[in-house]
Amino acid sequence: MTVAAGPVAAVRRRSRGPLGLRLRRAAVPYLFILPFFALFGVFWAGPIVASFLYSFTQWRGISDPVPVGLKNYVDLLSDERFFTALGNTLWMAAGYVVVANLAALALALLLDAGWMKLRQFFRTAFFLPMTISMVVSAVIFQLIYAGDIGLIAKLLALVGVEGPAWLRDPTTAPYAIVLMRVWRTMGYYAIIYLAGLQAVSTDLKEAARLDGASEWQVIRHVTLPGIRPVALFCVVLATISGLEMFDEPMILTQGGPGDATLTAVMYVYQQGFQFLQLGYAAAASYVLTLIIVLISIAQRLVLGEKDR
Amino acid sequence: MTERTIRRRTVIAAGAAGAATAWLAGKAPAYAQGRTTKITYWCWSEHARGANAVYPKFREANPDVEVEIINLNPQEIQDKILVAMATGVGAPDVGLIIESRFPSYPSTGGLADVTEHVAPREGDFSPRLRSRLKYRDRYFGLPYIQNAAVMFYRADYFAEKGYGGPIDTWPEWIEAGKRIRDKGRNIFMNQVSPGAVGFGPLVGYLESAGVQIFDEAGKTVKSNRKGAETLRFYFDLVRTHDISLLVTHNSPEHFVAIKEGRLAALHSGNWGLDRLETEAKADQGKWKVQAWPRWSKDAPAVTGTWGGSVLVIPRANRNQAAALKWANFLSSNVDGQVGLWQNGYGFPTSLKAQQDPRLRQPQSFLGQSMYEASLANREVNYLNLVPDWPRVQIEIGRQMDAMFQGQKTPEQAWSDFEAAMVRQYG
Repeated sequence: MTVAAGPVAAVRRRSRGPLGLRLRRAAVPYLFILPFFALFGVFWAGPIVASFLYSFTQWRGISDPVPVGLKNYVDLLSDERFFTALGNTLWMAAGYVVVANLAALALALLLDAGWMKLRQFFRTAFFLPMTISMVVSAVIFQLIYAGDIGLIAKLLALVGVEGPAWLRDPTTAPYAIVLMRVWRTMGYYAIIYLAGLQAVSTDLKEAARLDGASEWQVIRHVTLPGIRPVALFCVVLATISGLEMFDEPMILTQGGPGDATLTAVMYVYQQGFQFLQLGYAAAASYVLTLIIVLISIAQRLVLGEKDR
Repeated sequence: MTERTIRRRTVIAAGAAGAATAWLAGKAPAYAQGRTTKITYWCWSEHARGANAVYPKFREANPDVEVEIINLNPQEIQDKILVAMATGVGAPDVGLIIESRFPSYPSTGGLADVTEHVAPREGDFSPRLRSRLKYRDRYFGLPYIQNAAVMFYRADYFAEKGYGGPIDTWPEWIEAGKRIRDKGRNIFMNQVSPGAVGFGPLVGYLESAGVQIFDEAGKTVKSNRKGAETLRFYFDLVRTHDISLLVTHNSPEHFVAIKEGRLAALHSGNWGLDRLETEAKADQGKWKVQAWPRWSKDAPAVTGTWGGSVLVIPRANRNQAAALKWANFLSSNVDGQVGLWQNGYGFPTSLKAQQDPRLRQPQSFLGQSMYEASLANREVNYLNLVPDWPRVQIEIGRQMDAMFQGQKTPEQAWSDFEAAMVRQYG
């Protein structure tokens, strides 16, 4: 035993080497991942923790924050505008998720169809709105939606209908904003759906056709179940993006008319950067984050249920 | 081993000495280093044009200061300066702040106290501006330019209906508007803006009518009948008299209306001429300008404002001396102030500059002197401001939207606005 243990121990000692070297070797992988974690700590985790702490303070940005406990959260409960913004956000996001996903899926199905020509061209064309500057898009849509000089108004005038000023009417303004966002992002989701569609086994589709299934039945019973994980991904992504809606209402309507298009993120922006109530804004943003997380979990539970 | 240690020490010492020298060199004032100091100035559109135009004059007198004039979106500047002051990095050396937003800044402690530069020349600007620029009896901003409300008008449209020139009072304006309004050609007398953006134009009406929303202590004026009456007047222009186009100011729709000749008059600050020169180039010579209408024949000749800006110097600023030179030049130098008028139409706050004959020179686009036609002999009234002014703007914007949508009468809208202000400011 003793004789056998000697060489093994020696081999172990050789493989480990001196302590300093071993430590250095052990540290190398951590040094490689250190830059990521340093950046993550400073630019992601740090602000998340800091803003959570600020949400319990009254802070105007420069002077020292004053601790106020749960006051900001309690005040939010009685803030009518916060609930208006939250309500607008929820229903605009819901509308956006449904319309954007249906439109993207329909588009992806079209692009995936065997008879479709110029597939690359259409794929690029539908993706292009994502690459256009938001400000440019907003100006274009302001002119499309404008009262009597707008494109829609002029088209309606051709058939003798006087259309509303879409962005100035509290009934139509939220729809106008959702439609613009759908236009911008539809191509992006369509590309993701298309990738999912192309991964669905052609053998399965063929088999269904041989069994006498119509094209619609193939889509309904083979293709759509096959892209469920992709759909879940797109729905969650669209939901988060919808709940964070800011650019379009900020540029097109500034939250108006009245508060008809005021979204939760706009409300946070107003409180934080226009009213300088940074602690209160942080509290509102945490409530919004909580809602986004809860909705995402619910979606995962509902849509992802059958995958398990 | 010894040799290696010495080498390392030498390297470290040399590095430290180099770093210290570089640090000290950086700390030394620019003039001591025999180089110019480069400062940044954040402003927007017509102000950038004005600043660029007067810059050569400034450089002649101050060869040691270079200014980088950065043209940004006005709202973006206000937010960026606040964030920069909060974080201590990224602030400009001199920034332009919308006057109504200014009261939010001094209390943050992020602005340099410029009392010793502004107080000695208090006599050179309006007493009303003094209170606007002060916080706890100290100056934290330098007066820059003011924007008096004026009316640009299409002389050809007026002449078609027998109006040879300026219209003196609001009742006369409404009568003329009813004749000039042409539904067939889709021509409106002037424009009125809804929403928070619409507060800018409404201010001109309120100020010229002598309305105050807040008293000098910053408390809400309660049961403000005059305020409600003015809002009613604003509403009636659109809904009762049907002479004004309801359009969001500065929206593409608004610019198209100007370009297509759908407005017989344009309510604006005097800076509006800059917009007309760009948006209605083809109509040069047709546009004229007149003073803001009076409320009645025996009413005083007063006008209100639309905008106005203040020069500020963030406290965390290493180039304060150079920043002050530039800010003082824009604020008090007659050539600087007149240059801003000639290249952007910012009406000088400097009383000395207001007396300069160059102010009376005609503007080629109008074919007349804007100063003489619309500003001379007009007193400018100001609203008392409160901190977090966007809150006031957003609230009245919400009420105006409800009013124009027919959900509230102007009186209800004003009353609800007042109640919201009482809750916020007492």
